[in-house]
Amino acid sequence: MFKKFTREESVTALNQAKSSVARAIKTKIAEQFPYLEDNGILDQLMPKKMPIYVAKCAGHIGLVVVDNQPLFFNNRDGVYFPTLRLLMRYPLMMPRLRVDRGAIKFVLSGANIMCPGLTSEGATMHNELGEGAPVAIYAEGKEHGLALGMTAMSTADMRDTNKGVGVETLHYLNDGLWKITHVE
Amino acid sequence: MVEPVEIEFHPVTGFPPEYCEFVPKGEFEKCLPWLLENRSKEWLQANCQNYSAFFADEPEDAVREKLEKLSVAGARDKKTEDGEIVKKLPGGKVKKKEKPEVILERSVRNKRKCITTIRGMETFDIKLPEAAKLFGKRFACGSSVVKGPADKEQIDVQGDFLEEIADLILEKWEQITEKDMYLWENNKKVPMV
Repeated sequence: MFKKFTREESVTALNQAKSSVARAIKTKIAEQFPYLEDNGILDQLMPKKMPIYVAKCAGHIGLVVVDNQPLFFNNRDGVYFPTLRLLMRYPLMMPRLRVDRGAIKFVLSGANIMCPGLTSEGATMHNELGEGAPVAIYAEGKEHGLALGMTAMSTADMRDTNKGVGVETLHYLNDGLWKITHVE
Repeated sequence: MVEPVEIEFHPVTGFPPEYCEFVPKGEFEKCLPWLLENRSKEWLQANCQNYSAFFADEPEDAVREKLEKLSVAGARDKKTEDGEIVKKLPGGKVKKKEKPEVILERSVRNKRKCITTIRGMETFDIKLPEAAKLFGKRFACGSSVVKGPADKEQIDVQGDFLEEIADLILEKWEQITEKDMYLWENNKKVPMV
């Protein structure tokens, strides 16, 4: 999704969201990540007085920008995903899956996550998830997350079939979005 | 209230240090100095397993552990020396530096009008808009920088000035010699000389 993504070419418009839109975004994020809401992080990330910007990007991607920092993104007004940098700061904000060591290099070049990488010995499934759920991808032996994705099948199915794409990778370490740290 | 986790990023790669072992081949050497300075040996062994062979490659097995720091630093210097000569692309392919050249082409439009196209001026570090302006002035014609094939910029000059432009380029920019100039005829590059 963000493999080729640059500030100049991919961001087509950057507008300050109307207060009603900003509120809608905030409630949607709060709904999706109760952890942020419960621990008061959300108000810290998006203080009431701080304007929220929405960057429209190529490929129907929306980017929520506060204080010049991209915080969340979504596709076609769908579910919100935190950016990887945000996830690293609040690692517990969303469900997690951990891949084994062998998968890391493929994930870092943007590959989708295959089931065997999630079911093998080094991998862990921290949470039980359904299909189409946002999930953070961690790696065996590493502390920080390395990718964000959407499950393509439920965790139960992953264990049963153990074949094919388990998680669709959307955003990963060192992709275009990772490199954008500052949006003005 | 949960405080954010503070993460330290590697200054060269911008990665969390633990992922440095997964940078493209050849880049890892650049990460090493910082890692050696800021991380313990145990950390390196645990987090840079991909390069355990790299660590082991150095002099002898027995003194390896003690010499690890020094030998790795030495290896790095060697590698960077090579790196300057051949630039390695991710994936291990060697990128050849393109030979600078200027290609002139005349194309006919509306049967009796011509456009002279100049490509490759940028390979000599010439500013295209300036060059275009000069051509326009000298030949009293329209001259502009346009996007050519493969997103490369080229200069279009309205009118047939093939020979005149060749002379002007040679005269104006000393770094361009006759050997660097090519004509584009029948979809083929023909040396000018």
